[in-house]
Amino acid sequence: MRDAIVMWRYTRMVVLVALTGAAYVAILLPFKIATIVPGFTEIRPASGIPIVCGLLFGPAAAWGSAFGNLVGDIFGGTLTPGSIAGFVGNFLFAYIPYRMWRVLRGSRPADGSARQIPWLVACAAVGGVACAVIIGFGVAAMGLVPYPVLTIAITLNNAVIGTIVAAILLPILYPLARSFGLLYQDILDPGDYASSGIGWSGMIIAAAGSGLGLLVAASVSIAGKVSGAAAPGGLGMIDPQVLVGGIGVVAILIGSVLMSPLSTQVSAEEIPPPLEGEDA
Amino acid sequence: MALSLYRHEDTPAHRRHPVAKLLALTPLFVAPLTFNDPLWALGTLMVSFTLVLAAGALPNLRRMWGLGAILLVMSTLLWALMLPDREAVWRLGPLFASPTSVAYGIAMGLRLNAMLMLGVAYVSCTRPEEFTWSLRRIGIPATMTLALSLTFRLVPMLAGTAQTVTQAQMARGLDFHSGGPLARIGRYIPLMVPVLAYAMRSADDLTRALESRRAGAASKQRTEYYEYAWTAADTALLALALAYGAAAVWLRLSGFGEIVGRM
Repeated sequence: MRDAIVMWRYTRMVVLVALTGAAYVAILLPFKIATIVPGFTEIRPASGIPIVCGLLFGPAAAWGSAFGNLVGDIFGGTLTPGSIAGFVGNFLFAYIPYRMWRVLRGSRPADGSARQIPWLVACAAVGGVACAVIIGFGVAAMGLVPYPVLTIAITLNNAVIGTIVAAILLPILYPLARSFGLLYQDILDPGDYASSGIGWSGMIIAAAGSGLGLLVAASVSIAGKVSGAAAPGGLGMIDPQVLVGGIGVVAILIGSVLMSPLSTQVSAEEIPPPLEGEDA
Repeated sequence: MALSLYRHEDTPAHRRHPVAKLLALTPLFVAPLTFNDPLWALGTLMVSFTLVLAAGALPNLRRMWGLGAILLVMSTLLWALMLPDREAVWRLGPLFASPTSVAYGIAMGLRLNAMLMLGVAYVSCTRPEEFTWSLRRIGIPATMTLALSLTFRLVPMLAGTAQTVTQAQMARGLDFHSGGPLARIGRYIPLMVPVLAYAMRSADDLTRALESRRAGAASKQRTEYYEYAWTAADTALLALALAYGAAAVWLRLSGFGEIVGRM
């Protein structure tokens, strides 16, 4: 994840981290559509922000979403060990759509036009499910909430509502971000964000991990019965569904690393096209 | 617009070193995670409540009692119906539960509340600046903690913008409470766009402001606005927290506070 580290050298990216995080919290806290599981998760339109900001601001949005979630927990008085899972999950909620877009669409900008919707849905859905699986696993591993409950609830909020909101917001915000020179391509060096040669493998592994995690949660919910080895002195992670969810988490993390830039080499198709009016 | 739960009081918890409070939080969280017997979980809840009192955080806890009650009820229900290998002692259609699964659910509800109380106690006696300061002191790079500090600072500003936009749209007749979920999502877009556009517009000014203060520049002698002195009481806090966490783990490994062989 070279891009997520080198971006800290750029002051404008640091500012975008803070602005993404603050906007996420400012919209997350007051705007609520409905409650899914009382006390645990709600449908919130802010779930589209990590996706949109990820596609516009790249790694800055990933850190911003993670910081925003942490700050939201502190302001909301819900700072618990579950906040660690929330930090990682929200980081990848923005990071995976951004990296998947680079793997799938190369240097083509995510401007939110109608013909880009299938790509947007694919990137946003994997990011949303990955976030849900990571948070569901983290919280279930601590024995706080059954794995399927939180995983499905967060998937509904992130992948479904988040994608709808992102599809509406992106065509409005892309021209703004471009005119302000805030797209990550305008700030970072192409070598900082170019995909590695094995980006496709990473994307497939991350998508498979997300799918596996969600499948386990859905199958447990549909079956209505959880079968687990409750060995004396054991941990919540012994539950088979939590263990398989853990495998999904490992796959998501490995896939995300493989999708990210692993070297500074830039292929020709990764170099962004010149802006209108600029010399080629 | 005030969002922070920090309370301006002079309690012993407020006077502790920020690093001591941050480091103590980890072992304090370990104890509630250890037991799944409701009685033992209640014990950890009482310890957390004592810390709430010590941090002068009772008014904040009162504001959150509804969430705590919902967590307790929902946790009991969810685990009663979803605990692995529970017996079908009580059955209602396809749903079934047992006294053990209900007791485990109550313990998990108490666990959640104990951790919620610790979080409330911590944020009530620690300013966001102290939190980021302590992160810097334990080795998190200064640029990252700067971004986190900025996030804390910018939230009230953007939340104020969101509030203004909401009131303006409501004055024009926008109704957020009618219609289905999709229609309601559509109504939130005119609120989100101005907030995000405002954030983007301020990016340039913020960047210039940071660069004019050499933010991110390599400096061996970084100075801090706040400085805190480590005292014997901070060492005692850390030692007590570690002892509490270690004792909880030792008791659980010795077979106490367990009704089901899982976390």
